Amino acid sequence: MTARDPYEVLGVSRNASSEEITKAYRELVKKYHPDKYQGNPLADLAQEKLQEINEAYDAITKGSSSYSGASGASYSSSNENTYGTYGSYSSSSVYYNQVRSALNRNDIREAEQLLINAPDRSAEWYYLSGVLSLRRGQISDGIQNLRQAVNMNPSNQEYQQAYAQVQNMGGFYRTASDGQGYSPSTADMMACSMLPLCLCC
Amino acid sequence: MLGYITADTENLKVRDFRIYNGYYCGLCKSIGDNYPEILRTQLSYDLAFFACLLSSVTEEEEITRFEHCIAHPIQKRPVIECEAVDYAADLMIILAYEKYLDDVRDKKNSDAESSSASNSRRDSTELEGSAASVLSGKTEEKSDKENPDETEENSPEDARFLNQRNESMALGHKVASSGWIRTASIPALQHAYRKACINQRGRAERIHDDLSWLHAVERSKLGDIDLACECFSEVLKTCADGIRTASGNRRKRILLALCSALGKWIYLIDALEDLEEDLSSGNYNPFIYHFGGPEKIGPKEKKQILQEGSLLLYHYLEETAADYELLDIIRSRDLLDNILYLGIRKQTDRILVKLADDFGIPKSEVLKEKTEEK
Repeated sequence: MTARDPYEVLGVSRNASSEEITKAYRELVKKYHPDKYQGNPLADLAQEKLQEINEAYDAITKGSSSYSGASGASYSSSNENTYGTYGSYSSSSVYYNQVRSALNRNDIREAEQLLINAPDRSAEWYYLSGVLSLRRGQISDGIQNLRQAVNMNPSNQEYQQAYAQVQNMGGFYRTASDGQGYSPSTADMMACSMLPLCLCC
Repeated sequence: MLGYITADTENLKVRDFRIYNGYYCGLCKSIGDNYPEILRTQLSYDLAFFACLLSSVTEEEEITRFEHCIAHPIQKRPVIECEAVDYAADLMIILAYEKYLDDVRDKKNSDAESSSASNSRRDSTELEGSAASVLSGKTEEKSDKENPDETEENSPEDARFLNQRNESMALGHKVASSGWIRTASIPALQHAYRKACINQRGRAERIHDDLSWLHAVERSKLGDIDLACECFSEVLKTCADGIRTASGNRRKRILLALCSALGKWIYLIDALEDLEEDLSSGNYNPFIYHFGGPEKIGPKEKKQILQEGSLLLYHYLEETAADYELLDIIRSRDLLDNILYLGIRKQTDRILVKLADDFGIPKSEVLKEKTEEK
């Protein structure tokens, strides 16, 4: 991959002040933040973008032009495609730890197989099934399973957190849309677009 | 399914509004040049958006001409010409024809339900068969020459097709009798569809197959929202698949993912808007069957449907926007931003608020507006 001009990557002019550069950098990191791409099949591309942005930032701020991988000063991207890491939990059985480690490796098939063959349908089963569904883009199924997990075990923080995260889906989009000047006005301009032939102006 | 992807015209710069209409007029011109004039009435801004998106992804050459037209005889308006516009015009014909088949199928189903349920299932597969016949070329030429009553002279297949075709034409007229334009369009549409199929070399057949999957899921009344969404999103992916991108597969991959997410949004918002109607007519609706079927939908379920719908719609909006950012589009950036960040959000909120009002649910539970300052 040929390196692009770092100023072009960040979208700043060569005369930009360090404030402008940092601001541009932060906005780009926000734009391609891994949290926005959780469960998105294009998460790897977002990761690549972030890497390119990090390298460009470092190149400009430190004056060096070749870097591979994320560096310390800039934002270092976390694990791709994880809804938090799934460490072993002492309360969770050995069997489900296997599912968790499959999810950590992003081994969808293994996780799915383990869940199909699981000995029970406990809250843990529903939680991990929910996580798996979300990872596969089956959003409705994922929500349903997470809800069931929370219902079966309301005191479990992990399940509550995952369910809360899902309830807040769309947050990034709303923020970006508000930033573009969204206002839920009631004026119905839709009639304009519905006309078969645009007769106005 | 059409009419949901629109711009927020209140917030469009005049320049971007002109570009938006430039694609719309470009589509109109392309239809007029390549297809029967009456089909210009099938235009929609959704396809103008699609043409704009595709043109921006491929960064192909565009020509903008300033022309008069019937609707605007005094002032010349910009008309954009490019491959993406012609491609979108073909898609428009294909989708319009599939919509026509859908309407006839629905009418047949609702008529047949009063007689026998099994007949309707057979009829709808036969109807798909008639589409296949149109594709394979057994069409008007034969029926023009032969009297449909003389069935002994035709092969059993032809006779069946002719009967179906006459039946569906008659039904089609009944369906479209609410609008003379639609009635008049049907023969033109069938002719145009054949031409579009030839232009698109296999894409129309693929779209038809994708829709067949969707119809199978709907007929089986599965309450699996994800599955139904997935089937519909395949249609949009097939629509986007025809472009040739300059920078290899990366952009195409992103575009297909974007269309997948957007397709799911379209399917869901259409299902939500049709919810009340489907409840009373008995038509398939993924939300209705997800929550147990038409008899089980009470006020509590309606609230759940609305909340689930809101979550899913915003999820797919977010996914669409996230994919869109990866495209790093330059051409028509502001217009596309407007459509994807403002226009379709407005549509989403419009329908959510309308349903909330109908069901007597407070808006705040559905819209999740910002209440506190950060």
